[in-house]
Amino acid sequence: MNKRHVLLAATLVLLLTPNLAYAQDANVFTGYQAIAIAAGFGMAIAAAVCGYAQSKAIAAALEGIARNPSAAGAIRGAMIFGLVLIESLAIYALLVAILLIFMFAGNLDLIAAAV
Amino acid sequence: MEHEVSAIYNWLYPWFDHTFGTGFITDQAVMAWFLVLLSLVIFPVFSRRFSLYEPGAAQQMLEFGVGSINTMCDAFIGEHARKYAKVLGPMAFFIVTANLLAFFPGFQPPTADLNTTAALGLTAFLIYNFVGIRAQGFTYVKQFTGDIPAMMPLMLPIEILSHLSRPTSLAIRLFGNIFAEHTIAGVFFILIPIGLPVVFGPLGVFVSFMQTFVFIMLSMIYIAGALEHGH
Repeated sequence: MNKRHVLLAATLVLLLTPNLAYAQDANVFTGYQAIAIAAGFGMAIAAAVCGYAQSKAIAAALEGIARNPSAAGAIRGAMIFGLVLIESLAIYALLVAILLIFMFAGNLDLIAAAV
Repeated sequence: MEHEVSAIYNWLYPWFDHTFGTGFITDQAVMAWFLVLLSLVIFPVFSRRFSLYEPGAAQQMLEFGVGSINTMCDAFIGEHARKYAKVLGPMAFFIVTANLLAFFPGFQPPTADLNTTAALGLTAFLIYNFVGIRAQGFTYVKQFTGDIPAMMPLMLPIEILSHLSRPTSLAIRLFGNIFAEHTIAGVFFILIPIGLPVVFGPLGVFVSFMQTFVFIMLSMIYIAGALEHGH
């Protein structure tokens, strides 16, 4: 029973926990928990991986500039281009999160009521 | 969450709904027309004062923009690049001004709507395909099949899918950046009205210019890719 088994068991327990449905009407939307978790984790994972990838791109560009300072203009242009392309993938995830929140659960009166 | 509209549309939408039907003319269409009118006013008025030996501030800014687009075209497309710069230059002006309209009170950025960015992405797609067909004729289609004719059933769907993903990604990238930035700035302004929303000003301007830069550079790369197979 090594660490991998423990990790696999913990993941399965978390994912297979049933969503307890209490006795309610048929047409009431009850998925607020799932949407909050999905939007939060989706954007967080996308932001984390995007940050790691952009750090690698910037590190490579800085090393290139350090080795060859006269090519700094071209290297900087290519670096900005690559950074924007990587960031656009995180923006796709952000679009999905915003879509989930504002189409199903976006109710600013809730914020006003909670305050 | 209700969608905020510009001042002009707020003033005119009863007449629009009465004349054309409800929802036929949208806020982003009105803002895009405003941008066209703005450029019809700006360019003739400013070009009358252009002088060769004493350039003013506006002339220098426009020359910087034109010069940078020409330089990028020469770098990516190579020979005969200036005729493509004549198409991409106005598109770059449209995109950058459309993005920057977000920071003027009473206006909404037309690129915060998927319809405008889909039109821009479709325009770029049609431009590079027509350029490729005009330059090479029917052999332009042969680049979808690859080098070995026996692999065509495998290569053709993959190539078509990757070509169809180009205008889609152009449209969604521009829409996502501008809409998300605008919406998040609005939400933060509701939650914390003093102090924090100042941060979104320079960030938004930077994002506007970067997204224009990436859109135009990707269009140039697609044009160069359409031209290179053959000669």
